[in-house]
Amino acid sequence: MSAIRFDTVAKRYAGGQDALRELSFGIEPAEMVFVTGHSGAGKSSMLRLIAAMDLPTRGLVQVLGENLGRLGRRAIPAYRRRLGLVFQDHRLLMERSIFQNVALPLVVAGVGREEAARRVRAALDKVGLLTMELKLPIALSSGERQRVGIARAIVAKPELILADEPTGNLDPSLSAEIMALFAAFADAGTTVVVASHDLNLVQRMRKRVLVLDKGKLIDDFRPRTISSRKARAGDGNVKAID
Amino acid sequence: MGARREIHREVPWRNAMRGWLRSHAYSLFSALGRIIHRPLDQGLTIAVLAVALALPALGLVAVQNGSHLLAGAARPADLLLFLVEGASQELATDFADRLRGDTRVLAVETRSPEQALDEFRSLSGFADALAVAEGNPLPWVLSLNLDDPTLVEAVAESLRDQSEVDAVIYEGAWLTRLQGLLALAERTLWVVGALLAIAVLLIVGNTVRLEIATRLEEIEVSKLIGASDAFVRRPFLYAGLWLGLTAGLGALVLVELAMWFLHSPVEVLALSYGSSLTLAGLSIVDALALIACGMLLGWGGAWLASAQRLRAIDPR
Repeated sequence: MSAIRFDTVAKRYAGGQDALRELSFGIEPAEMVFVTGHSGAGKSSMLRLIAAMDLPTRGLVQVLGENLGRLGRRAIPAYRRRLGLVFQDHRLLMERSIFQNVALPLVVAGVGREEAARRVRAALDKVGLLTMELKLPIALSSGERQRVGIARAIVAKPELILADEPTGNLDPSLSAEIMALFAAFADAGTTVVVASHDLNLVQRMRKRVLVLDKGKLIDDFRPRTISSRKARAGDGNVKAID
Repeated sequence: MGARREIHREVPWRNAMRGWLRSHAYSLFSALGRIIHRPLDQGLTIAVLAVALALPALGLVAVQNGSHLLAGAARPADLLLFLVEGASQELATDFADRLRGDTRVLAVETRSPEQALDEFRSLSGFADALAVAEGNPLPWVLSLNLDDPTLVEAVAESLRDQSEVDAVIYEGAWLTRLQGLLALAERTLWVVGALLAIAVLLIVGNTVRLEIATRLEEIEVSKLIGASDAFVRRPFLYAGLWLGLTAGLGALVLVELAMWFLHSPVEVLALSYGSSLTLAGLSIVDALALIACGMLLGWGGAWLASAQRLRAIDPR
């Protein structure tokens, strides 16, 4: 069974704007997938549907065995605890220390203090911020904040990681490290979906890529073909991912 | 992934219970921490709540002391019947026996003219004047206590026409009126208490509402990472509970301070009436009830403010 399955999914917002149109694809468990496309292509809308932050207007969205269109309000928190979300704007709590921010999913899950501390430090270590656990987010650079957000997303060992532009504020070497981290999670059994503009990064990772344009899936390919596609300059696909 | 999912879901009930308790403990102490970290704001709120709780508590103390005072006072006769001049002892005794047979009458006491004269001499200060008076001008007197003091007027009316009776005097009417006033004060106290309880609910509710507004981002993020409505609501409910608890304790201190302040003048006043009245404060049970009341109102106010508001904050 697919970890994520979209079947002719459409999403229309209140203003009448079609964010997604007839979107159909499947993502297997432990697969790492990049979603790319220009601004307004529907990447964030797609992630919002997967995170149960929005309901599809039409079609089936099935994630981790749950039909999200039929997921009751009371079932949403338990479903979200199975996800790790990385936001483009970090969404850190500015009055809480780095440690407290990263520990939040564990607090929500009711994990014991010692176990939580151990897991938080392990997560901070993975993103290279172990020495900053007592600092407030305000004292960090934008890139460091993003790494805190990533640590928060992985700390509860989620079944599915959703990352919206996770490396937008990071330098290339750190971006590669973070992506390697996501890949390691995928190797360990976690499904990872990353929305990104960064085509070079996508190319280096050699993972499956979904290309969206105006809410439609216009391409779904494997990394070995990316160079040849990129070479077709002037094609709609390349424009979309550039 | 299947195995992974099973591990995630099949949490033994003990672990789930521990997690639930940990979550409550976290909410309980984080709510206290937030109050402690804003001592001025929260201190003022607690002071207002304490005054609102102390006012009905002080009223309760006043009513309890008044009731205690009236209960301790010897019950005077409800009616005094002055028999006709020259009535014999036999007539007085027969009439008293007849009255004892009346179901409305609780007790009848007879007082001979000689006894009445002796009392008058000792109380009136006219002993010398009475010594030179010829004979005894006082009649036989019957003191009546009624089963239901509120019937005093009806009973008096029915006895006034009896041939043995010369005059009827309401003796215990003042006590009945005082008891009535005390009952009215007690009822008023309930009304004022209820109004102040509503005030406490609103004050706590408003405080929690403001707290929710300042923590909107945190609430949204918490919901995004899987916090349930109950989890998000819990710190606010505990904040209400802490506010109510500290306000209840503050009210207790205010009541005790008031008692200490009033103790001396009440004692001096009581001494001037030949009484040894001392003010009684709140009992242990009343004190605990006051604190529990504060906690309940704090919790209730927080619930009213948070339940609907937090449900409405949905990242979906």
